[in-house]
Amino acid sequence: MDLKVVDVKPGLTHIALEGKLDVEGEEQIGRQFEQLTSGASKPTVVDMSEVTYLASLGIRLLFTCAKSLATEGKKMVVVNAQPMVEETLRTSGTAGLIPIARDMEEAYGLLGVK
Amino acid sequence: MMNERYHFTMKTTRDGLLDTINRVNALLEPRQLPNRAVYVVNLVFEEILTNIIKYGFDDDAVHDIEVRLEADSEQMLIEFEDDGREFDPLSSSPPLPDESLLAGEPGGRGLLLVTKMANSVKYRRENEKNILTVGVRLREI
Repeated sequence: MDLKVVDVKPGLTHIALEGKLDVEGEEQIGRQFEQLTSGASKPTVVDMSEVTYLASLGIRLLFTCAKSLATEGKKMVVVNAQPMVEETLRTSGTAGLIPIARDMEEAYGLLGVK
Repeated sequence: MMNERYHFTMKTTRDGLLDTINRVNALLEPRQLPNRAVYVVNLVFEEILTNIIKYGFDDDAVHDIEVRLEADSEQMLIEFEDDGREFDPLSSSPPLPDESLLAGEPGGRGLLLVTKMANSVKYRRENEKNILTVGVRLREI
């Protein structure tokens, strides 16, 4: 699994994940993901267009970091999730807490940033 | 793999888990199954085995888990047998819908995903062992 920093602005963190967010994937990017999201404490966009698989360990990572951001009044949004990944987010109840945006424009709107 | 049966024994370790998932994917790959079937089979293996390894035993010893696969062209039945303490995943309460991130807890979603995304889940206790059978449809009807 790969993690790419797409853009870092004063008011936004935009990262992209690629590959399978399974046991090995979580081990590979978990620490870096935490540092870039909850560690940076900014509104965060997570591009999941290249994530092909998501299991509960990955959901736990997203949830924990989004919860940490929420304690500081910041939001996390997932953008461009593939159909099965989106179904996993919705079935697990995660999508109700970490919104899924279709594109960056919708993501910016959900985050309240320009 | 169709109309065939497989049986293997794995250890309750991280490497045992990853090796088992790799073996299953090696069986699935040549069959050109729909993406959803491959995805759900992977989810079933990862969530059920992780749950047994993390929470199934009162000691720190390495145990064996028996895994049996039976598949025809329509469906795969996956049976997991472990000698951990009695646990029926179907009797555990699913996590309540979270009202907010701040009130929510990150865990407890793996079994929920399996029970909702697989096509059947059955549990029985036999000879001091947990036996969980999960059915996954391989082809769209």
